[in-house]
Amino acid sequence: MPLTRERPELKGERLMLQFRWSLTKTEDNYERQGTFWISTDSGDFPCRGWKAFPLRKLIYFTSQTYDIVHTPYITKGNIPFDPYYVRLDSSQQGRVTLHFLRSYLPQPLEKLPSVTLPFFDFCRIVLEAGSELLETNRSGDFGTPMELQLLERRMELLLSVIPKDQA
Amino acid sequence: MNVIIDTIPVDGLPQKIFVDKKRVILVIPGANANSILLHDEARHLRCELSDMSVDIIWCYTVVGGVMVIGSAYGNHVYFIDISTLKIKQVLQLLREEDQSTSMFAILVTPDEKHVAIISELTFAITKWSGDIILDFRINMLSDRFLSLTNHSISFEDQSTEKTFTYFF
Repeated sequence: MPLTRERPELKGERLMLQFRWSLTKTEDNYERQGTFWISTDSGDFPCRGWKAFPLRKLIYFTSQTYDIVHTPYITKGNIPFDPYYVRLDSSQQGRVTLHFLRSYLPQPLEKLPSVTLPFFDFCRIVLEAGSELLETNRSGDFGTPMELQLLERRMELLLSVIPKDQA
Repeated sequence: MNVIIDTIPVDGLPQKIFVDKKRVILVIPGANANSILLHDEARHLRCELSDMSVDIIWCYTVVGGVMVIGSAYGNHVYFIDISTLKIKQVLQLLREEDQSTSMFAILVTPDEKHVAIISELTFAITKWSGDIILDFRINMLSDRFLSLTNHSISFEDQSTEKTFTYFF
């Protein structure tokens, strides 16, 4: 039976972006299977139930987000869901735009309308999702110690660069 | 624009394809591994397609009533008559075994008369019937797709920056 977690809906808050995932227990006690996708007001990306390793996806998101905050000349990052990908674009001051794309010729196909939100709101969504995923992994004995430590470290780094009044 | 090109993740099945305002084709997982089923519930038509994993790429011409469909990592491309859901033609494509270099696209010429099917190792220009009018070996690891016109397709060898244009 897969374990499923979603970001809880806060009263009065309009959710624009939600990381959704499930973990499936395997014989060797490590997370080998699971699903990970993103829900927006317009739909699911790449699709509801996209098979992926949730830990690795969130490691990507925290790393890319940290790089954008920490390194002034980096304003874009790609998170792969091969052959789909999310492009993070922070070229607008204080905001981040997520583009939901599929590699194609001659240019990528846009699979969902892009979402723009305040940069630190996005950081909070990534960190909340990371905390829940870590908690679920640890309570259910999912994931390798190295992956868990890596996500935790990435989250600490991301939290360290967010201004105190925004965290 | 009478041609629609889109993709469907296999994990996201079942999905609906709206081929016109009144007609819906349901895409559902097939009975066999890596197969999908195109199902027209209203007309009681079905068509099972094998070798469909990860991500489905489809292209549909409203005028001709033909769907060209394949998958991101598959070797087969199907030409389907949408009015009957019968397979008109199947092409077998050369694909790179290493899926990390996967590249597969179905494109249509601006005049919508021909279809270009491109993989990492080959391209084919076909009619909507599935008849091949031109095909060549390429290497998309070094060649970059440049353009598709009504009568030509161009690639650039990125190591030499030379452009290769094939006319049809």
